[in-house]
Amino acid sequence: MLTFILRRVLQGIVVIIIVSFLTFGLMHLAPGDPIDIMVGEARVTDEQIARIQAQWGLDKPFHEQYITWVGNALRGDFGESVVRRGVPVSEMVLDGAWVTIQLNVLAMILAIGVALPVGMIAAIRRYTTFDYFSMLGASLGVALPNFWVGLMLIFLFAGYFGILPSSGLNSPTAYILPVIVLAIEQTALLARLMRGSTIDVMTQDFVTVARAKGLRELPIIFRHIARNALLPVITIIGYRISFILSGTIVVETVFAVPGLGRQFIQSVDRLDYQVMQAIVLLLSIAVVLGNLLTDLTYAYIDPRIRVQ
Amino acid sequence: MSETSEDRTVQGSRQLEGSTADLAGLERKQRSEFRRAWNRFIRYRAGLIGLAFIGLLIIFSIIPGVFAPHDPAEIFPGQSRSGPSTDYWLGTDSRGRDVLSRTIWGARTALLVGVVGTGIATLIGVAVGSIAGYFGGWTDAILSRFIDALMAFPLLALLIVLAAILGPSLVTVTVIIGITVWTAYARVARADILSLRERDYVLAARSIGVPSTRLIIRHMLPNILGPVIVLSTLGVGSIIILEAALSFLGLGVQPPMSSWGRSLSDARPFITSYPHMAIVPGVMITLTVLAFNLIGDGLRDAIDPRQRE
Repeated sequence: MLTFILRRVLQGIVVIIIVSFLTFGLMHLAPGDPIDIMVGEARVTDEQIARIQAQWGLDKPFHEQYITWVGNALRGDFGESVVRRGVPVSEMVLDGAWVTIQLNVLAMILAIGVALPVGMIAAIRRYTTFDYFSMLGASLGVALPNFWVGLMLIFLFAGYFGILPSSGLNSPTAYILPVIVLAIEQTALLARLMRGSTIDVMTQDFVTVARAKGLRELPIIFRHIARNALLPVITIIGYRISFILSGTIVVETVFAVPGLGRQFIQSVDRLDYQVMQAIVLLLSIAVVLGNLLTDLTYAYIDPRIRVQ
Repeated sequence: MSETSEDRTVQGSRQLEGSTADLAGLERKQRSEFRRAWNRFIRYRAGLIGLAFIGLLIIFSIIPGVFAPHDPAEIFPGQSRSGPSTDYWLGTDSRGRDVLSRTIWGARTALLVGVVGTGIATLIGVAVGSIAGYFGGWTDAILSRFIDALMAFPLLALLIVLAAILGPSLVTVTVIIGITVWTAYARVARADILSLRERDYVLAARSIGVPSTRLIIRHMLPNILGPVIVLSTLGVGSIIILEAALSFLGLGVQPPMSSWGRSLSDARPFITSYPHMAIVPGVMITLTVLAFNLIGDGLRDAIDPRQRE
């Protein structure tokens, strides 16, 4: 088990290093000098530009700049926003991250709360109308573009009925629409997965044995089927983080929610590279950590994994 | 027949013999297998409906001008944001362009990006995955970590950065989607090639000195084609959503070109009062993605039954 943990943690670190390198390299390819953006229309001499370059270390070779950036990032210092002068990137990003985490945790709770029971009931009542309609809904849920659902819900609940705010997060009710939209795709996927995994477990011998022993349906479902069927679903939740974060970028933009996703889009619009690369790096680290935790949890719950 | 037996004695043309025999065997087998797969596929009615819908879209995207009542880029003065009427069946958008015509022309963008993007991703993914799976060792370790790193980026964040850096356009969108979403194909190809490598026929081919490239392309790839085709079909839908999302954020297809995502972004500021501009483009995205997913499900049952849920 210890070697397994060590190996996975090492792999995770290697991946984060590659990710940080790719992120930094990508920003270097970007058009528009950070100095141009900072100076704007003001008239400056070449000497002044050279002074700024030296001050920020922009005259140093690529690998030195990269090492400086990583060193600072490790201490939680992502520099200052070039656009919002004087504001530390880390401060901006922390505010946004808190909003994003709140929204997505709520969405995930909603998704799990709906998907697991629906998936299980659909599996147990296989080929019934409930199964048919819930799986039709799941297929639709995967195909629906979240930004369009967001727009339609804004029209219905903010425009037509006028009962929910269309943007921002100024009241508790403002959370309702973004959370629902964020939850749709996850609900659909998890429900499908839960159905499949429940069907798999239901046909296994130990369930037949439990039935043969004369156990009643409910204890069989909860004690034997549900616990085993949950395993593959738990893993997928961890691996979905990358997609969840992709979704949050669009949904936060649709609802004008001040989270990490909207900050990201704004920094892209303003070519605020410091903020952009900090957010991309943070999101990627979140994905790597999520996958790592999932692997370790899975190995802890299911001893069969450790052997491989 | 006589040619084959003659060749067998001539060492120098062993390659020729191998390739013609392969070709003949492959062709015969493929045809019957294709027919069997097709027979299995048409039993799944939802997949057929999906296929019919995509067929219709293909016709739309080849000759959109025949179906669209107006020029998609034409601005009708004094007609902005008007509701459905006999002249403009689905109304007009915020600039006074015909929503129906733009939706029909949008099919071309969606299919083009979806299919070409998937093609690029499949090619890169299968190539990288095969190399990692076949050679193993350090090659595999390095490629696998690179794949992990690419998968660690939230896909949309990476696409947004790339689109912003390269400048958004139809070509940029297609290419950046293609070069970022291939990781799933690489993983499947790697795993399948890895297991094929241990087969006797691969060992036999290696022992008579078939070069690696030829061995992978001619003898191993045909065997992993099934799962790859299924994955590609299921992938088109998600790429169409990505294109729509990028265009919605203003980082995809640029005006005057029509894109369903772009139409939604144009409709967004007026959504509470003029929802008609957003309804049909969104429905089209959903149905197209659904159709590709249904075809993919049908294909999975037909060609690759072990992947069945």
